Amino acid sequence: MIIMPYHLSDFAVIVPELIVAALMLILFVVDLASKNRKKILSSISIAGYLAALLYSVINFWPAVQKFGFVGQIFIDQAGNFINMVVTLTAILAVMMSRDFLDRENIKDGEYYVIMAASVISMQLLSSTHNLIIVFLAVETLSISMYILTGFFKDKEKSPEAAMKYFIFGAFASAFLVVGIALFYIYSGSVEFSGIAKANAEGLLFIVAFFMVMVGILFKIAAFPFHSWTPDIYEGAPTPVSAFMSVAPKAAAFILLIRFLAIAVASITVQWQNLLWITAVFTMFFGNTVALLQKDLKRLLGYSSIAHAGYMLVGVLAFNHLGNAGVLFYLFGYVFTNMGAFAVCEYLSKKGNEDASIKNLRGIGYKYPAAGVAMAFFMLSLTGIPPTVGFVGKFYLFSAAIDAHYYWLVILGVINSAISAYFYLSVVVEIYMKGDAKESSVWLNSLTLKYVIAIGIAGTLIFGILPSLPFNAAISAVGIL
Amino acid sequence: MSDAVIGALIFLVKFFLLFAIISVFVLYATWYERKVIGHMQQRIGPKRVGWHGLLQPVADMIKAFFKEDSIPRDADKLFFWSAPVIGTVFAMMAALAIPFGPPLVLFGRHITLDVVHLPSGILYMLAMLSLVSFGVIFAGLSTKSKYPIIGAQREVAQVISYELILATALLNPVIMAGSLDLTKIVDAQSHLWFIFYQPVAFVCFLISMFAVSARVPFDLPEAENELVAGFMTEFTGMKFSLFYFAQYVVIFTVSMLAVIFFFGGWLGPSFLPPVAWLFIKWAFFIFLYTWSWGTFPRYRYDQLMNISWLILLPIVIINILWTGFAIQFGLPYLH
Amino acid sequence: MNSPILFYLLAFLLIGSSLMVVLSKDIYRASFWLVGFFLFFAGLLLTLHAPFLALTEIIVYSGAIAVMIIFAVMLTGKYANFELSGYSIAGVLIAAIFIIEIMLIIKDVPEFKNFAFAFASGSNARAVGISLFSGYLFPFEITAILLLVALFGAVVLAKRRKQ
Repeated sequence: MIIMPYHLSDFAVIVPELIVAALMLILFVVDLASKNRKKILSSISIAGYLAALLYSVINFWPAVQKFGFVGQIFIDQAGNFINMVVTLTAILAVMMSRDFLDRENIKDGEYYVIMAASVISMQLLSSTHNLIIVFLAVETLSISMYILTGFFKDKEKSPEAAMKYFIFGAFASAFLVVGIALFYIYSGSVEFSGIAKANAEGLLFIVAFFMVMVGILFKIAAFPFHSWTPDIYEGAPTPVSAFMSVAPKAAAFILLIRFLAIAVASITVQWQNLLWITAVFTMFFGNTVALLQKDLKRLLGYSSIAHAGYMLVGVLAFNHLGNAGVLFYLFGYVFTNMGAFAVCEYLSKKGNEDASIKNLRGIGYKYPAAGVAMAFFMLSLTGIPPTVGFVGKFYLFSAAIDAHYYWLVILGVINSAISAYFYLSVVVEIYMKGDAKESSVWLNSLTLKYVIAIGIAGTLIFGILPSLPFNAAISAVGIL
Repeated sequence: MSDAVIGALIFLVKFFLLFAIISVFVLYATWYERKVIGHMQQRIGPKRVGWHGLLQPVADMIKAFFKEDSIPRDADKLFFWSAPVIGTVFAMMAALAIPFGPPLVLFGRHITLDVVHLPSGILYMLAMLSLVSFGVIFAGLSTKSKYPIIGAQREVAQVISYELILATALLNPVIMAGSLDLTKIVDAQSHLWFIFYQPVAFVCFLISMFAVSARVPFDLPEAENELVAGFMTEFTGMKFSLFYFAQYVVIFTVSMLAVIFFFGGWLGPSFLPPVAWLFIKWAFFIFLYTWSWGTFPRYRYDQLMNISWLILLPIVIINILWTGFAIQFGLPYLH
Repeated sequence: MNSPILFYLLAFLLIGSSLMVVLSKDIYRASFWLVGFFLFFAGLLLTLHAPFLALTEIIVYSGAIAVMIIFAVMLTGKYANFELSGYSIAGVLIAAIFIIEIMLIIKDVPEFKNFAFAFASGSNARAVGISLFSGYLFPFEITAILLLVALFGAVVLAKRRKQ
């Protein structure tokens, strides 16, 4: 008879995943049972994610790493931190979807089921040192994202975006899995610690490292694997774009930090050189191409590339402050970016995802609240105090200075200046004298307004009082 | 003589024996089916060639051999030539793993009564059976004519759906025997045949057995009153006969599988040799094929799909869960 | 079952059929060679004493996936003919780089002492099963979520919306 190497205590390690998995199954059953009242699904989703969020908050302390399932998965503070970011993003995305799906006449309850599956995969990604789990989680995440992107079946852009995403993503996954296989051939292990023990001189090790990096950098949309981002953000339903711009990046960044710090620590100099180039190109590419954009969703897409570049600066610093800065930046990015997408959705017309910046003209006078909110989010994305965007950039760049990356910081600041131009031009457009287009009907949704309010509150509060999340982040990166 | 040479000789002897058995079976299965169907329909069946028409298959073979071999102008020659061969070869390869009795000891040598003996024999047979359908698919694609393509499409859908059921239904005996080895599966039934433990799995297997060999009531790929002759429409002479050959080999093989997995294989009272028991039980399944041919009407295409995915699949999956549960908790189960 | 002649024969057939997959202008012929590719690959696995993997590979890849590909092509209606477009040169270049890279790194492969579960004689279906359901149970369960999502996605994207 087979002896099971597991005990009940192993399941204590995966409680957040289990909560969301239960949520996923409940959603599926309720979706089958309820024919037309799909709003109940969003309520259930919010309750489930809230439970997972609360669990992560309550169990944040003490700072230990609890392993389970023969060491394949664990829970620690960094994992809990990312769990919080992901579940919070999921809650906001569900709130954004609630009335939006109704208006766009999307009646498939699978939307929420698939979103729950993607949340599980991100939770797994943020709490493992095992490349097999990483691959399975990345695949689950990718597949759910392809599907969510293509959810507007009767529009042209959405299935097209899903197809593009699928083709790019399939290549990235192929690289990732070949990289994992090469690591296994070389070191006989798929655990980060086992890979770290291998002799890192061989060419095979470097090739494997490159291939795994392709997979991870694709997920965080860093140069040169960024090109899918704007098209997919433009084509996907707006709540999905918002979700996609924050949550998968959070999971991929913690994975990147753990991978670089543990698995390939022996080639730190080499990967730092590689990442230096990547970070600079990512920032410059995102910011300069964003200058040319006419569409708000595309602009936010390029902006998210640029922000991935800033966060790579923090990863590159390779110290506690840098890693904590990345976590904090992700935390602040939830409020700012979700808020910006929420306003974008708020001003959109039924059946028309055309979010041209010109349509914003005069919005600030016609709909003052939305105008102020958008302006505020743009300021935070630029990094102007007293917003959370400023504090986040401050931490990232000071970490880089600690690590003596002066040139990188200078380039980063230049990029912030470039980004100020296009972010502020959105603000200028909002407060430009002119007729607000009569046809721009807003989405009358209470939960969407809550999202905007939460976004403003988070951006402002954590911009003024960053100590609580930042201390948590500093503690979290103590053990990776 | 060295050991390897003797091994190779034994292999060759076994192979030719199997080939002879199957060839005789295929030849006389046609005669037998026409005879039985004839009597079921109040006719006499073949009577003129030889005693009670016993030489009829030989006459048919000579006819097929001398028939004109026509190839459609637009046909893909590679597919057109390879399709009948593919089907036959893989069907024969599946039959190689059938054990016809318990291992023998002859002149101090341990001889298994299957041509190739594999520890995961059933997996091998399922793999080969899944490749048989490529013959039909490529036959349909090769001619670029409408009926064959429709026939091939039906075959594809049918085979994918029912091989799944066939394999999962066989999983229950495999779980109970704890082995993929066909000989061990038969040995595990020395107390009681698996049909008595697994009646549901057997019914599922029986239904999918008919579907996999594309016989009435699931003979949609060659439904003669809708599709002329389905995927075989454009084939003549020996190529046409090869398709028949492949189909009968599949029937031979899956009937053997049914006997081995559910009816205790060669086990039986000792007044007859084991091989005889095996073939007696097997003959019952061959008769079942003919019986259903004479009795059932053909299912519609959507009904065919619904039976597989909506009815049989949930049943076999629940059955597997039940089997695992029963074994884990030691519910009545002899070993 | 481990003679070099067998290996070279299978490798030659494998490379030949995969080249034919790429070079065939007719998509059905490409699928024909694809089936051949899977078979020879299974043969190669057999020579490595991994019969379970080989047979599963035949059942899953040739028996199901290749058939599904052919079915999908049939349903798209046209008897499709492929023209290799201008990407072929880039493709050849990338393939060449990849091959050279693999040849360079192959000498780095250490002795295969780390491969713990040896392909013992007898049924390695049992060995695979035991390791899958003991040490790798957790990844196995995650695969369930992955497949469930893929299933949902296929249904959602393919289902026609009721008007």
